[in-house]
Amino acid sequence: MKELLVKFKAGFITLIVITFILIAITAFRYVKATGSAENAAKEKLASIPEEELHNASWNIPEIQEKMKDIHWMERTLTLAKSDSLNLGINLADSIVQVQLKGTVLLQAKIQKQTPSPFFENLNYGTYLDFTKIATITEEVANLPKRPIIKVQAPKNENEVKEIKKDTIPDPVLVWQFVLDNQIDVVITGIGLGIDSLPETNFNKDLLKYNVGKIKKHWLPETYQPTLYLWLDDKDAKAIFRAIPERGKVAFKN
Amino acid sequence: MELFKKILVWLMLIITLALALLTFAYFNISVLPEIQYKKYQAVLSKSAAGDSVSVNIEAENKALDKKISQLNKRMQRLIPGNAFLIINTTNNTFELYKNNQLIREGKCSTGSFISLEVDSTKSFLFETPKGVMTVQNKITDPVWTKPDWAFIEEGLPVPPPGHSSRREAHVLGDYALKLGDGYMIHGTLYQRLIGSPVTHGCVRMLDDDLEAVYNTLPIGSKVFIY
Repeated sequence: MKELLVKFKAGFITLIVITFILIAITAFRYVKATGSAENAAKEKLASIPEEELHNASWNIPEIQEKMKDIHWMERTLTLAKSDSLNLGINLADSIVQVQLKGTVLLQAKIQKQTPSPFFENLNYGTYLDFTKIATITEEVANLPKRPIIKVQAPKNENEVKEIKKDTIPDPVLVWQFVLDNQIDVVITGIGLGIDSLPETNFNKDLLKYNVGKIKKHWLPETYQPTLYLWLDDKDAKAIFRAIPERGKVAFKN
Repeated sequence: MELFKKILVWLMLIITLALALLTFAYFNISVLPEIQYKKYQAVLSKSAAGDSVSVNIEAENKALDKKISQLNKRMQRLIPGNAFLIINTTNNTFELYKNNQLIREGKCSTGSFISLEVDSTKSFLFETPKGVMTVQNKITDPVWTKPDWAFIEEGLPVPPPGHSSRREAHVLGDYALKLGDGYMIHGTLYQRLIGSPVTHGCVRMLDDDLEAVYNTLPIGSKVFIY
């Protein structure tokens, strides 16, 4: 054994050094990550009025459910006053819906959600904050909101030709948006495979998103919780194109 | 024998290194975000002091039930009364509701999103507007009054307003429902294209669907487009 260690000294030292560096980086990231999550949560708590944090009825499950229903309906009624299409994310019933003037125009079933459940044990004040009507402040998608095709008008009858549209189907939607209540949402479409059956790999999607986040912020100095939702791709695209920029979003869980 | 031993040791070293790297990647990519989320939620979940104050559950339940019933009534009032139509411009489908029941659904065609560029200052965007519109008028055997873009896209000179060449019969189907701003729900000669985004902004329907919509929606009905 000793002979082996001596003979392959360089190899063993390299291994130990690399492992040590990896452990050090991981420990550093862990401290930073948990610290940023704790700070973000503390900041959130500090922004909530003290009286909202104290609600004796909230801890009774039966009453809590009713209070949640009331808040959801109140939010829907508030949104109904607006002329804009808006988004309702009802995690309790696994539904995402497009609403306008209080009428539900599209209801899509959430096929998969991570984390699940999302914010299950919040105190009353934090729940109110989480479910208040939020505005989309930033959004990124792999498809355009309005798929405009520019065509030059013909100068005369001879120039008229049939406009050939791209026949390549759009890829499945990946739509990420940030809300002003410090929640990130990622909606991913579930497309059909070659056998026409729904096909997706949730873990692969999650891995891709997490790697993307690390690339963007190698040191996790700030934290915003992310809700990942997977919907049927047709529904996801219809919702994406329906909700305007800086659209309004209401949650229920 | 010596060479085999050497290869074996190096292989073990490489495998150990690969495992260390994999563990590092797995922890940072998959585990750490989960730990962060749990930490965040744990802080927020902490019950506030005073939450254990006794509550009159029965009275509270009654009050909440009353509130829910009031809100439900207000929600019900928002749903359009007699009949309404919902158009999905992404999937080019429609849903027709009467007395809050879905009575018909199917394919339709909406705006193509083509932007016809005339010159650097003038263009026409063929998009179906999103939002809520109202059936302003219903007509049978509609005659199409061709707007400027209908001539421009054919490479023809644009005639003056009211010119006879602007009027074209038998191209909009048997019925049309006017929604305002020049937008209509109407039929088409190109029935095979229904289900695709091919219109100049109007909503095209198959003959049978159009008839059902025409007969169901009175003037003043809401048409929701998203």
